[in-house]
Amino acid sequence: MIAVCRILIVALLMLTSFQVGRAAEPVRGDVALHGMLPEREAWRAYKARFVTEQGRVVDTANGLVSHSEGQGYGMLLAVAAGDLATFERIWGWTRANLFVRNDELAAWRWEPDKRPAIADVNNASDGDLLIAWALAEAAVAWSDASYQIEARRIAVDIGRKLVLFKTPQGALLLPGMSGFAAEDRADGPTLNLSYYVFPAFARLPLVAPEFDWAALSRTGLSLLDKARFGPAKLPSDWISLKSGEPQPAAGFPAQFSYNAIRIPLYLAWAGFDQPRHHAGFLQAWGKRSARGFPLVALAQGQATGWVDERGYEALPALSACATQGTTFPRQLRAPQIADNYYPATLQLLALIAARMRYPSCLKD
Amino acid sequence: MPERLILTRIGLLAAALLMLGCAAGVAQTLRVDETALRYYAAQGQVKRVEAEARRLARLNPDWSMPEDLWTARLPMGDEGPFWALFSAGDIEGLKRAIAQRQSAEPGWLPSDDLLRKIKRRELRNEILSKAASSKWSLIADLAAEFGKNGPVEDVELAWVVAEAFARTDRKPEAKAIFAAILTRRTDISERHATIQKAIALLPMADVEALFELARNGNTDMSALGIDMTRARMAAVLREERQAPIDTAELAAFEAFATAAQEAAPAGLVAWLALKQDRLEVALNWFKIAITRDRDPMIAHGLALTLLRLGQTREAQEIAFAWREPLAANAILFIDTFAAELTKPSPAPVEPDRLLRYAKVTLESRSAEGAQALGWYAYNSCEFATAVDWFRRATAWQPREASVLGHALSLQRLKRTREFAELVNRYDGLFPTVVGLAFRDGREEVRTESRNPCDRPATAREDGTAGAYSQARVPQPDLAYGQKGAPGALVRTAEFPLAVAMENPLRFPDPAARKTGAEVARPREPEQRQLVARRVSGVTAMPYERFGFALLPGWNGASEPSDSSMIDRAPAQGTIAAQADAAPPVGVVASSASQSVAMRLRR
Repeated sequence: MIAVCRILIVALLMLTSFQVGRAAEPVRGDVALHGMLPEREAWRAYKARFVTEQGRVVDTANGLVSHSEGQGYGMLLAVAAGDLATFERIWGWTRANLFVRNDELAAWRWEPDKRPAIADVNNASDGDLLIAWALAEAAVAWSDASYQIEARRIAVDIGRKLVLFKTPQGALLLPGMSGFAAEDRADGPTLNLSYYVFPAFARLPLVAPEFDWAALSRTGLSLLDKARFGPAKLPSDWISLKSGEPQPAAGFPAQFSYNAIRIPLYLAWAGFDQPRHHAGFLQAWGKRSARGFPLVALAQGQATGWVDERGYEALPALSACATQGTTFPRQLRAPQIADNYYPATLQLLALIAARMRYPSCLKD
Repeated sequence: MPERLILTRIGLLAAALLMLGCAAGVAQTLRVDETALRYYAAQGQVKRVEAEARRLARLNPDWSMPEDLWTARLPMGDEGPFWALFSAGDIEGLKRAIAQRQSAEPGWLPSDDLLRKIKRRELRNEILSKAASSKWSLIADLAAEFGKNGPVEDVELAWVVAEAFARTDRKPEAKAIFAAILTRRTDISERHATIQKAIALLPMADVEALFELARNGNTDMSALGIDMTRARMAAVLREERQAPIDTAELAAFEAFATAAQEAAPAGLVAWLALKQDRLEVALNWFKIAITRDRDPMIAHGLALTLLRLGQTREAQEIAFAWREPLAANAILFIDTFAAELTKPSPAPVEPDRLLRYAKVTLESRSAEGAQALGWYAYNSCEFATAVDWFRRATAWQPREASVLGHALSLQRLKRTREFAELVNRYDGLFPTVVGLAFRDGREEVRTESRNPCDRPATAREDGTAGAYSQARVPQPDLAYGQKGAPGALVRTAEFPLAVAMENPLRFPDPAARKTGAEVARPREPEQRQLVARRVSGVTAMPYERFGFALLPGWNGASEPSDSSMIDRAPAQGTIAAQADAAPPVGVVASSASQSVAMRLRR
């Protein structure tokens, strides 16, 4: 006879003990995601270029791989576009192909043409946060209890297994189950501030109210204030907190690069729009050249590379909109045909963030 | 729920106080009367300035000499009409009037005093409006203007600033403002409301300190007794307070909870009892609470209590009934039932309960439920049914245990092509699944001979008697990794085969929902490999000990992982690591920590 047993009663007990007593933090601008991407043509073009019939979101600049983050983005976009069929397609692929772990977290990387397609069974916390958040929004949008159940299962595992809530620095989000904690790395804990998906922290109380998600927002903001390295005063993609103060992490390039460029998007999306939150990023993006926006080597504050696809322009546009009320340019509301997955995704996410938080930026 | 109650009470009090505070606020913002001081300064009468400054400092210990004392401009003529507008709170009108005067009278300037107060009033208005949209971080920045103890003379504003500090990781500053209010303000309602604000915002240790401060001020704080007890109970639940709650104090709260109409106080008593493992007490209070308010969270507490009392079926009934409004109840129902179905020797389950569980599993598309039903069917020798459930489990969450059950069931049914496809799809990822394709006797799952599915006749019929016989003993040289002749060991017909690596299973079938027109697809490469590559975090594949090699992993890794990262223990300092270190007493299913424990009885 064969028996398999896994159960989460311990988690449920934790839940109830936290739930009682403390006035729940008012969710900052409790705005639902559903319907926030009415640009039908932009969404249609996105699907046509990046979403397979099976529901896989394809990273076109990166060997056509997929990752939990991309699946999460796709699910968020589908909810915002009010497109249940596509949401089901993407979520269906995600659970059928990435949820191979024994917990409620997704394996982070999937590669076509490889046997097996999963490249690494480790998770990526931002991918899990995005998927849980998208499911929570889908549950609200389409009153589907199964989405709520899955959102809760994922959120509970994030809260229980990936967050160090009581450190001197505050609530630390480990980037994955393996490889980033103090016991795993010489300079651990190692964090990625772009994994602090601020707008998700405002919405996960919908499904897992027992965790202090707001503490993650507070700690993320406070770490961002401190993680300003080199002459450009920008955060590196990966930081070490071994000394207690953020430092660029060993073993990763000390760069403001593809990870960290998302930080102001998440800030604005959560309504964190004080000038000091965005000034450093806007200043870096102000130094654009004919080759595009700089990626910055932090020690010297010099450009180490450039991003030139149009969709990236939505990032400074959103920061300017959030801090100065600047109009979000019209051309950034239409699809950029030549863009790859990442800039195309960021562009639509920035558009959604603007519509949710700063709709006046979208009035001409 | 208790927090609702607390909030409501604070809301009412705050509303009442707001009205008081606003009336007072206009006068209060004028603060220390520096008129005489500034008059003497404008006249250059240094000694008189010093005497007046001493007098003001004596009356107002926090007051300090204004920095602009010797440079400030005095009113250029009568400012009476402007001050009238200011008092009326019409700041926009006032600014218009100033602009008009300036255009009519070039060179005219309002006094510094008026400008300063306009600025301050604008700051106040901005802070209050930002509070309405919860812009706490912005308010905390703006509040720097007020100095260390905040705008204590304007209690309404002070509360908002304190809340902003508390919500932006600046709790000591919030506490300092509350303390300043309690030190300087005597109004009893203000003092009560200040403590209630602190309860909602600060750690309990800070609240206790403020409460002491309030009582030392000779204020009767007895009206807050219940609120303080409630806060202390909640602090125990949040593990913020270690000390037990005074017995008499708890008894007083229980009396209050008994007399109350609402469910919340009874619920709080119940949660505390559950936390402290006084299960019968918890059960009693949860039952009282649920009769007062049909709150799914109370139902959840009731179900948890029943579960820990060993009344699993009753717990499941409660969780089932309350599954719709609260996902935690649905999960509790699904998981406790799954535990029951996947016990090593499950008791027979009544058909109607099984049917109900199957429906919930399908409605919620639960991988947990599907794999449990799969194993139950498998152990009941209903292999075709088992395959149907495992197909769903594999579609919804293809974990090693579900894929293993799926493959075993296909093997039993001799659905060879499907079996081969499944095993090959998870080559490189799931060692136990791949092991099914080998004959060396180590990885095979042998069932006990008393299992009714394995009666000799059946075994002969499906041709597995040799492979699964108890009598078969692994050969020592193969068990210790000597290279054998691979061809003899591998079921070559089934493994390795080149199959598509994408899991195509979906339930329900998305074709039913397809919109058609908008579906497009990017170019998909399609190459099928025969040799697996190394996957980060996965242990050795069973065939490696026969000398087969894997291709390097995506990051170049060539060696297998020593232990499976799929089962990696959570990092130190996480809630899960703490719970594993000290499992709560009386928890029925502590197997959560074992994650997918594949207890294969061989």
